[in-house]
Amino acid sequence: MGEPIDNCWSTIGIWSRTDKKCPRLQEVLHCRNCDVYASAGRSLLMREIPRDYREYWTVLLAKEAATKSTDALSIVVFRLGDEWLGLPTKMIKEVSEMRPVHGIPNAKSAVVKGLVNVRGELKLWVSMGTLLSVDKGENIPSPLLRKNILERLVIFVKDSEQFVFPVSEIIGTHRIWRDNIRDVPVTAANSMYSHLAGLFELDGRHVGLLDQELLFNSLKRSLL
Amino acid sequence: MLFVIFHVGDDRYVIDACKVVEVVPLVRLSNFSNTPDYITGLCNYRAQPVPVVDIRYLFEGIPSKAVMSTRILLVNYSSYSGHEHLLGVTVEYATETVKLDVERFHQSTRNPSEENYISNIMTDKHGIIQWVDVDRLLSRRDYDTLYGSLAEMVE
Repeated sequence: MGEPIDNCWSTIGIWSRTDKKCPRLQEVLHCRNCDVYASAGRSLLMREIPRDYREYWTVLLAKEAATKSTDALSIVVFRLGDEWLGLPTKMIKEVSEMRPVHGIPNAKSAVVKGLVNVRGELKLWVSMGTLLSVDKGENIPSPLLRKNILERLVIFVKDSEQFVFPVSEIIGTHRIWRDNIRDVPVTAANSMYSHLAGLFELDGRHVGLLDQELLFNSLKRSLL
Repeated sequence: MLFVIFHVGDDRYVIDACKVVEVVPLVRLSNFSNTPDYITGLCNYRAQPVPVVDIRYLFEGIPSKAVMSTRILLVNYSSYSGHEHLLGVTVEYATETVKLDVERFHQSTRNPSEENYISNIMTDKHGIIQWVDVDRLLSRRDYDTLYGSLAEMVE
């Protein structure tokens, strides 16, 4: 092994607790931009290879490279009551905090709940739960959390028409390989399943991928 | 142009990054008898046997150190006959790639023979960098014995 490493970054560098500072800091601003720091880091690679390292890599390298599917879909996954659902990310224009809904007098549709003001624009607030017959459920994540704290409004757009719907929770966008999206069981016949394009698994949850065409057509029909 | 930089002893060398397929850690090599000494063995690369050249052995007659920064570059080797093969090259201190201006390289003054694998040389503030032409790492005779015996095995 070579000489011991001089950890100047913690004695006179950016992590130093004293006033004595390295003159090079003026120039490089942070130790991570300094070549002394970089070469010290790299010197860690001058260690002898650990035991089993060679065997481990021999086995790994001998395996055929996994043929990676490049066909992936970006999906926003959200919870609606007790159900986990997903929509293609490109259809989602925005996710915002909850806002008050303004009722429309004489609205006959059960799906349309009213209008919502999103930065000065009035958008139609629809209930995905009613449309898909998904109950709101009692799925409160933790008693410590205020109820509804995770609720969000999703603004989704198709063919320049926009709808807003509330969801119980959003767990972000996920990249899903198309190979991992399974067909919906033909025996499943309720309203939610009939709007699904497929099912996939995400961290142990079964997520239904909504079929955007079907969903949109149903939404438009429900407005009549 | 992008290069993979490595050391042989205290000297710095580069290999054209376009030639490099993958950089892999040190692995166990199977003995490949009846080949020149600088061929350290065969590596099983994705179920494909690939001969591995130890560049330090080739240059200095000393095997590369077994440390974390010693790695095997899998390169596309084009032989004198125009065939492309995978070749493993064990190099020390392969921790970086560098962008170098091709214009700054000088043609090597050595006699251009088929075994002259140092094609070009440049200098920077730290000293000399030599460009290793992987296509010339093996002499014609060594190439024939090496890939000839591999071809026989495959057949």
